[in-house]
Amino acid sequence: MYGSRLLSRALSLSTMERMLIGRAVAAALAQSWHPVPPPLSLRPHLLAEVSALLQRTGGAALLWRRLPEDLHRDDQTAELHQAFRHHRLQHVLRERNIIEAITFLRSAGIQPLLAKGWAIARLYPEKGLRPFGDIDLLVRPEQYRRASALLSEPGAPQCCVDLHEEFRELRDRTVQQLFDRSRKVVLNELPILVLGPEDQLRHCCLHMLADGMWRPLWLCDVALLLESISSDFDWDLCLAGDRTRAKWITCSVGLARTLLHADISAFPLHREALNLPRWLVPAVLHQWGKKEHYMHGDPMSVRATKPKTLLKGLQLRWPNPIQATVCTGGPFNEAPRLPFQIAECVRRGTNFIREVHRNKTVAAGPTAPARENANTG
Amino acid sequence: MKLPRARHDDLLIEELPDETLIYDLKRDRAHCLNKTAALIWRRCDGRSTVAQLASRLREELHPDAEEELVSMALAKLQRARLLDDSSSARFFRKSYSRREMARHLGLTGGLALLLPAIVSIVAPTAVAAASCTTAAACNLDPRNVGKCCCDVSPRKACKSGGKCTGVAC
Repeated sequence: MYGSRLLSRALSLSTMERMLIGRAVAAALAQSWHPVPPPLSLRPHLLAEVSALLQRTGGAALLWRRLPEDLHRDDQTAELHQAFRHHRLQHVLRERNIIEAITFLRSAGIQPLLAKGWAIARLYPEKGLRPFGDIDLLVRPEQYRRASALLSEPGAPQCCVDLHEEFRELRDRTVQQLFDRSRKVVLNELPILVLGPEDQLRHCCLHMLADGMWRPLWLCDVALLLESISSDFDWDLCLAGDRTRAKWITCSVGLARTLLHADISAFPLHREALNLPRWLVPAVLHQWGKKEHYMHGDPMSVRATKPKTLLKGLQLRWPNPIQATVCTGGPFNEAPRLPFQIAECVRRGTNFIREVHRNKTVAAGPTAPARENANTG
Repeated sequence: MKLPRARHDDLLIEELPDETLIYDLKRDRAHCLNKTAALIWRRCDGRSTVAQLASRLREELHPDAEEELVSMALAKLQRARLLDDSSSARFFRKSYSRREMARHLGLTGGLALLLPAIVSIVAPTAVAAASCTTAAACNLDPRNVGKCCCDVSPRKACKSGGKCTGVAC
């Protein structure tokens, strides 16, 4: 009895500590995307925690520019400065890669549409503030196979293109619609297609939620997009479709306001956006305060072979309420989140077992069904 | 002795207000040059002597800049392989640390910032360790085998052979 009380007290302390750090992360990133961000003052121990967390999740450069000048020569912040320099060079390098990849595909008669990464990073006031790795290119489904084959040819650009024939978050829009609504932007004199603003905001919100918001930077993207929208932005188009999804987007807008002080005055459902389910903000802060994420470590296939790390792996994979709700298609309301978390665990567990079984079958030998499976998979 | 000439091939150069970032595409190394080092590097045209470079430095940066500063910068540029291979002569034989050099030249306070500096830029350890891989990176780099492919849904591990078809992660 006494032991369980101690345990529950220790757990709630750890939760509180995470929330406190999560709150500090939110404070550190609030309005950090502005051309002149407000200066930041954080206690040294919190700064160290936030700095480490943001380095791991890509927000280091945004934190760096909010620190007062007198801290710029501090050893503690030197890593943040290095991160900014690194992201800056990576940005320029990726711009080259984007031009190469798009020019290459266009020369074969394929018109790609660039999403995520650079398409969002370009909106930040300076290169290097918003790191990105891949080049996400959407092509029309009928051109996907050819584009994929072309990119794997020896003469293809050696860069990290991530080719898509659809975006899972935008499956309720046709690829043709996405192309029809796309916008042309220019990168070093090369016109490039990017998602239209309505689709881009929807994509960013849904992608962020489906991944459990583990990168605070994603909410900065949403905040920046909200503050960049023009007067002709079509909210009906952005929110059209399933009501549950519309509510998810509305809540994302509310989170951008509540946690990062984004200006959401352009959003017509202003009041609804601020009426967030009670569990949502604590869930985000708890996630942002976490020192580890399953994306950082070994995959389960590796952990499963080491019993010592298996438990840790399972613990890290316990879905947060946001991810669990979105991945199971649940509504953002006041109902408890545990059923969604359990459902998501079961879904993932089943997938994992199915995958392990399928891979074992494929590895076992060239039996006819296994081969068919491998070829079509 | 051949006069120093800045290398320009296979370099990606990004100018910032207070520093210059250079990515060496050939060696996969990144450097950050402070104002002094960047200015000297830009003026290395294969025709200017150390004395002439020092004179440019005095004109453009600080009237007290001496030839020894230029020599120090050239030695650093050479070590970072930012000078042409033909500029192989050692421009600065005596090795000083930044602190010794500042003392030697009598540079104090803000003036010490005049010393040329070239810092290597590395991906922050935490960032490097944090990244999962992508389908494309799995295909390109065998070191990604075993990592989780973050852009594949449902998530699967990168398998040898360069495909994200491993077990779920």
